[in-house]
Amino acid sequence: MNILELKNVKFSYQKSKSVLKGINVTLEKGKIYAILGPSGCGKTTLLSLIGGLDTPTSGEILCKGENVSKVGLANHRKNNVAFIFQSYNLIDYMNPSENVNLTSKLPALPILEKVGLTKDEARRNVMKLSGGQQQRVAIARALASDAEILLADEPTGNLDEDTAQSITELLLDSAHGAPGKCVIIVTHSNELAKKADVVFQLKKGMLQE
Amino acid sequence: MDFLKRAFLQTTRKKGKSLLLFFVLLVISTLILTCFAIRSATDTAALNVRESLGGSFTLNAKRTDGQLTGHVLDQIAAIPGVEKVDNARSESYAEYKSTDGMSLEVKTEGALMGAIDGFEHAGKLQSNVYSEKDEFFTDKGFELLEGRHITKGDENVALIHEDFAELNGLAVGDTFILDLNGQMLEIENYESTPVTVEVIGIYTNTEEQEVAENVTYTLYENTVFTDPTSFTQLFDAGRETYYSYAEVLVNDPAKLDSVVAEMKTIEGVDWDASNVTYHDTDYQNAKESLETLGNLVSIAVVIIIVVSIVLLALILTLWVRGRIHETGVFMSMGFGKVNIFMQHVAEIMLVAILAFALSFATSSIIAQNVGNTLLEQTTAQTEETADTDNTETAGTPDSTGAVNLTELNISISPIHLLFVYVLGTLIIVLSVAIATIPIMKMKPKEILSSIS
Repeated sequence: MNILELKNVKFSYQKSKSVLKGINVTLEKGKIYAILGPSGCGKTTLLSLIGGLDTPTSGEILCKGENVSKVGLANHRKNNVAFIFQSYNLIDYMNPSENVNLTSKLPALPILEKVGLTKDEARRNVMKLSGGQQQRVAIARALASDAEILLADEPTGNLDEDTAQSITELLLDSAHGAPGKCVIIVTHSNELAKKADVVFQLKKGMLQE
Repeated sequence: MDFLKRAFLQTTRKKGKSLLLFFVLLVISTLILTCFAIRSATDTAALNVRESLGGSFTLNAKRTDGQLTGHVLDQIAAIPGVEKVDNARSESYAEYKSTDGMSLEVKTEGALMGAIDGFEHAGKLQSNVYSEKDEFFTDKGFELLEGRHITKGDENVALIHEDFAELNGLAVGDTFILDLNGQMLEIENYESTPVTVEVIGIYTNTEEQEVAENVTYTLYENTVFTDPTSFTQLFDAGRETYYSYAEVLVNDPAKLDSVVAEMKTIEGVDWDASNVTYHDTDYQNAKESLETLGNLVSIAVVIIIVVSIVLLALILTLWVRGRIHETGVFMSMGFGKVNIFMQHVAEIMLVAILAFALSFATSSIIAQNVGNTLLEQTTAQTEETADTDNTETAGTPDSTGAVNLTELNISISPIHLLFVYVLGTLIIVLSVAIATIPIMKMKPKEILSSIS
C-alpha cells in the first residue's frame, strides 16, 4: 500500500549547488527501504525532506495522497513520521518510559520490554544506559507513536556488531510485523542494507534502485 | 506529553539548574518587592507630611465687583481636596451715625492729612464671617475686651474700638448706623441702604500702628467690624451676600495648582480680575526631600527591573542555547514552537512561584533597612542643600528649612506581592522570548544539523 510519493523533488542549498536533482519514488507500508550513498551525497537531506524537517526547492512530497507542505510540516512530523537518530536524541531529564510517553499515551513498559529493556531499566536515568539500550529506547519511542513512516538516520552507526544486529531486527520487525510501518533507513552499512526490502543508491542527486 | 508535565520533569530532575534559577529569581523578586514597598511607604509618608504641613491660598476677588458670593464659596468648598473655605471677608469704609441720624465722632490724631471731605465721620469697615480670624486679631494685636466675636449667622452686628466707644458713649448692646454718603459712592447703580448694627463687642489694639496713616478713616481706632450681610446691605441691598477675600485650605499642598485650576472653572466669577496667593512655604521646604526620595526609589525600581530582564535573559539565553538539542528533538516529533516556548516559560514559573513567595519574607527583612538608608541619604542631601540655601537667603522670613520626613514605615502587603507576580511573569515571558526567538526562527533541520 503506497504511503509516500516523491514527485520530481529537488533541493539545493545554493543556486549553484544542487543536492537532489529530481527524485521520483513511491514508498509502501510494510517495507523497509535502505538508502546508500557516499558521505555528502544528500541522504540525510532526503530523509529530512521526507520527515518534514525542511522543504524541497521544488517538487512535491505526498503522504497518504496529501502534499505535506499544505498539511503543514509540524503536523506531518507529528502525525505521519517518527525519527530514529544516530545519536539517539533522548531527552536527558526523562527516564526511558517518559521518553516513550513523549509521543504516546500508551503504557511505555510493554513497548520497552518489546525492544529488550527490563522493568528496572525502564525507570533508570536514560543517560546511564548503554548506547545500545539508548537506541532501543529511541526505537521504542518511534514505535510507540502512531506514525506510519519510520525514518532512521544511521541507526546502528554508533553500536557494536551484536547490538547493531538486534537493532536491525527491531527495525525489520516494525516493517514486517503488524501493523507494518514504512521504514526508511539511511545507512553506510551494507549489512543493514542487505536486510532491506528495497535498496536505493543516491548518486549525483538521483535515486537509483 | 503536555508541556506542563515536561516542565515539571525538567524542573525536578535538573535540581542544580533549578536551584540556581531559584536564587536568581529570589534575589530579583526580593529587590523588586523591596522597591515596591519602599515606593509605597514613600508615597504614604510624603502624603502624610504634605497633609500635616497643609496648604492654603488667599483668594482676592475685590476687583470682581461682588461676584465672590456665598454660593460661589460653597462651590469652592465642594472641590475635591479642599478642606474648607475660611475667613471669608471684605473691607471698605463707612460713615458712622447714631440711631437719631447724628454723625458719630472719630479719632483724628495720628493721621497726617487729617480727615478728607466726606470721611470726617468715617472709618475702615471690615466684614467677617468669623471676626476672630481677621488678620487684625490674628496678626496685628487686636484683642477683644468685652462682648463676643462675630460668628457665622450673625446679622446687623458690630465690633468697635474702645476709643471709638468712649468717644461716642457706646457700650455693648447699643446700636449705631453704618452709612455711605455721596462722596463715598463713586460706583453707579449701587443701592446703598443704611444699616443699623448692634455693638456686640469692644476691642483694643495692643500694638501701635506702625506708620502714621495719612487719613483718619484708616486709623485702628476708627475701624469697625461687621457681618457680611450688613456689609452687602450697606453697599447694595439687591445683591447676594458677597466677599472680597477668602482663605481656601487644601488637604494636600501638592494639589494647590489643581484645586485653583478647578476653582477657575466655576462660572459667574471674573477670574481674570481676581488673584490667588499661595501659602505653602513649609511644603516648598519639604518638597525637595520628598521628591529626592521619590526619585531615588523610582530610579532604583527602573534599574532593578532593567537589570533583572537583562540578567534573566542572559541566563536563559545560555540555558536555552544549551537545550537546542532538546528543542530540535521536540520539533522533529511535531511539537509546535508555541508548545516548546510554553514549556520554557512553565519551567521558570514553577521555580518563580516558590521564589516569589519566599521573597515576601526576605524583602520584609531587608526593606526597612534599605528604606532607612535611603531616607538617611535623602535627609543628608537635603540638609546640605538647605544649609547652602540658608546661607544665601539668610533672613528670609518664610523660610523655615524644615524637613518633616523623618521615618518610613515599610510593610510588605499582599498587593505588593501580587505586583511582583504580575511583573515577574511579564519579565519571565519577555526574557524567555528574547532567549528563544533565535532558536525558534531556525528550521528543525538546522537545529538537528547543528547538534549532529
